[in-house]
Amino acid sequence: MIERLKINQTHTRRIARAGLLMSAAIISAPLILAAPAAADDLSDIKAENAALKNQIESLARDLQELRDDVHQNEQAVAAVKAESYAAGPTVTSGQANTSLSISGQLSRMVFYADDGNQARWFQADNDMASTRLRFAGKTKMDEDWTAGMLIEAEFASNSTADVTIDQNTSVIASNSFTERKLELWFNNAKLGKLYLGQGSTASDGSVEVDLSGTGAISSSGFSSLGSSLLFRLSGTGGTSSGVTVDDLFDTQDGLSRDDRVRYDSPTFAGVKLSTSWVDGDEWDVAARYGREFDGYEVALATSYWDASPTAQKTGLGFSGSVKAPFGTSLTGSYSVEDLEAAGRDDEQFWYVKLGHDFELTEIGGTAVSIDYAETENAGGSNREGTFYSIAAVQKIDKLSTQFYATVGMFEADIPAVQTEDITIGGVGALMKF
Amino acid sequence: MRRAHPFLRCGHLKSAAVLLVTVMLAVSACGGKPLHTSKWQDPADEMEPGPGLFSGADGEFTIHAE
Repeated sequence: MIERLKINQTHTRRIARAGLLMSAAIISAPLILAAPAAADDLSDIKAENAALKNQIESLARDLQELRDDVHQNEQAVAAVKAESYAAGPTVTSGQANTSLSISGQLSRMVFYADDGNQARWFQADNDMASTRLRFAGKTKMDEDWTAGMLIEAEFASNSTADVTIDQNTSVIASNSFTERKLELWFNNAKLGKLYLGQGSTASDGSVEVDLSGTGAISSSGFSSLGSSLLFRLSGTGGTSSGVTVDDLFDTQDGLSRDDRVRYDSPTFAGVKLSTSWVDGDEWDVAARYGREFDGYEVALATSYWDASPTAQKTGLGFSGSVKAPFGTSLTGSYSVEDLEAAGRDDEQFWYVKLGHDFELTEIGGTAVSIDYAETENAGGSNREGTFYSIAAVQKIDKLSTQFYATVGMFEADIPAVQTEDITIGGVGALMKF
Repeated sequence: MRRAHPFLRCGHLKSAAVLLVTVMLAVSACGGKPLHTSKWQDPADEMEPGPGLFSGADGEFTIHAE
């Protein structure tokens, strides 16, 4: 049975082989008949093939040469880099663990003022955030100790704080670098920070806490926009009252910046305490708090200052600002100075501000605010002042610039005289370089 | 001579200041996250932190040695 199956398989294979031979003969018949013509084509194809082969070999050689060149270039670049690193940066410090930073900003605006008798435009430097240059040095001594210095000067040409309606040209009095901060500091992570030199006293800024985002043109220090402008007596053709904006709207921001020794405690859960002893035996203490709760930002500050030896006054100030995660902020501040020793009534200042910041465009954040302030007995007994304004700031992130605009009004209530209101406004830009 | 409102006399205000500091310390126990120091420690007229047009992300040119 098995033998018979083998014979059948062999027979079947023979039949299949014969079929295949017949099929091949039928298919190849035209080719065999066309053989003389195909022979020429074949030689052409062979020649083309040989030429292509030569080209490929030539290209392969070129590619290898290019690879060799790239490799050589990479080696050369690596050598230059290694040499560069070995030589170090173009400018470097001679001390380890030290740094020196240079920074600054330009702040210019077109400022408008109308004192009720005259109105004019000024090309001015915005005193609320003036043009300035800063050098900050820092060195790390060990894990806990660092030390440093700060030199910060401002150069405010035709400052909004200096301009007057009657001036013929730009104010030249402040056309020079003037000091802001010239200080040394020593910091210990556990013990706190000690400052020595010209700089912010502990109370400086304690009535200026503000999270609104319009600080470039609007803050409780608003009187720096037109400080030297005079209130004019109504119906007199512009007779001066002798009272300037600064006389009536002093923020009473503590002892400001001065030559002092200042100590700041470390921050404990958002609380920092400070005190300073100022040239002339003035002194102050301050407490500040800053924290964020579920997107709500909270900042508070308070201070007490004693300027009795130099100005016969003591003062107390508070300020606070809360900003919601959706951008709305509420800011307020209050300060009072006791001038009893100088035979004057207490000077009072209070300020409120409602702000909102949002992403109007992709170019940068937008912030708007409206504020209101009142003063009492500022610069003289029984005087009152009122100020209100609106402001807007548009940031341009790619330019590191804030464009801003504001319009505001100063109103004076001075005993026995009637004065014109002063309107101020303007647009400008603050650019960090 | 016109005097300030009784509450605004310095004695009361000093008490208010002490109260505010107490409130700060009490609130500080509530947790929360740190706020950037420039928002609550620096006076409003200080230079804001942030990038500079030429200096880049840090807003300052820095010469340093590690």
